[in-house]
Amino acid sequence: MTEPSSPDTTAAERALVARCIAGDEAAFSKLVATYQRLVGHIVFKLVKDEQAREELCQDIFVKVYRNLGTFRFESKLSTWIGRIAYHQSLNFLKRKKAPVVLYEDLGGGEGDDRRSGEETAAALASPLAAAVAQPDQELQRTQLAGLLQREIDHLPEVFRTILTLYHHQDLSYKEIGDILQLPEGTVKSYLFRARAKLRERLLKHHTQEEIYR
Amino acid sequence: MSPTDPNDPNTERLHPQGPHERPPETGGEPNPLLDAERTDPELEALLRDDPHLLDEIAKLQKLEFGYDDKILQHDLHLTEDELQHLAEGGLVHDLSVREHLKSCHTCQTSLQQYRDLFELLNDPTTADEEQLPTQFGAAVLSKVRKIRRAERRRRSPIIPVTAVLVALASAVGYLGIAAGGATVWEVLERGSTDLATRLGWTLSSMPTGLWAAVVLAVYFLIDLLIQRQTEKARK
Repeated sequence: MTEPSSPDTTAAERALVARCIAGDEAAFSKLVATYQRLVGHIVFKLVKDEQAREELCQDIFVKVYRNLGTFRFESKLSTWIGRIAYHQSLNFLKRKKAPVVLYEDLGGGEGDDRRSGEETAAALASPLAAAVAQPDQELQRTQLAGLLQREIDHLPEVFRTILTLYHHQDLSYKEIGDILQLPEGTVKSYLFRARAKLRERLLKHHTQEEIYR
Repeated sequence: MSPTDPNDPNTERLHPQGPHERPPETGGEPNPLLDAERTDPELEALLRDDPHLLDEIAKLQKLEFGYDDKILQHDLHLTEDELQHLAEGGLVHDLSVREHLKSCHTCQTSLQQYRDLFELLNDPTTADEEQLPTQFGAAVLSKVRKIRRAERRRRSPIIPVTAVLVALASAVGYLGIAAGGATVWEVLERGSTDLATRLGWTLSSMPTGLWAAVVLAVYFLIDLLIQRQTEKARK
């Protein structure tokens, strides 16, 4: 389920990893700088404990450092680091006995059904549709982004992680599947369901007042 | 009901074979333009290069499936999956979907809503960037340095301890320090011989290999002790 990287990327990654193993601190700093956003995205979407997650991110990179010698370049370095981050986060949640709802049914199956005319008419009169048409776009975008994040936070952990990895990290279904160890089709299906649910919740739960407060 | 559910009359009407299934064999040569499995990047690139190709496909689909105006009515809409595919920049290959989308305000609005949603999701400035602090890299590096130092401490004592032991033994043996009428070396030698005899051995009967094993065991114990102390210090 791993994806070989392109020859150029592999050569650059190999060089970087070799320098890190040789004890080159500048190289390791570069590695951390390159992948800290990815690790942050995974950890922050899974672990809500603000006190613990920075420490957890540090531990993930320490683990990466200690295991670089075992990395065989059978996948992209990002995928390997992402997988470590994902598993370390799950282990953290297990240790803390935090309630984890990884794959909660998003319910309704509305994402798949053809919608009736009334449903869509309601959507047309929705705050999202209205908000999109407003001229004060900058303020509105910020407000909508806030609403969006609140709704994303309501999704189960894996759905949040998939959304983030796809939209913020520009990873492919396959790369996300490699990290989360899920089949590519499942990743795609979860992504589509999560986005349908997001749109539905935005249209359903937020009033015009909330958007223009 | 799923979009490809055969029991869903809507699915049948908008997609006679389901949106992603191969059309039935109608005899004659298979037409590559109607091959639904070719909805891949290659085909999409072809369609981008030649906009007329889409019209060609539409004509062929009309001939192949005999679409009529009824299926283009506005009471049936695109699925969420289709809308998301289109909002992500996917192309419309299906005549019915294309025609429906041209004239259905509801689907156009839904599509626009998805486009807006994706734009928001993709926008790094509006994304929930709970970033790690700027000093994060330095903090990781400092942690790695501490671990390296601890590992060095763990490895290094074996050599000085060995050196000290050897030096001590040499000093005791060759300086001939006296204690109770005999050198310390003689006292130690006698003491260890007595101990060994009590344990049922004699020094002369102990093979060199056994001595080596005893020495290694002592080293191993020292190493283990140091490792434990290092782990404690790290925690």
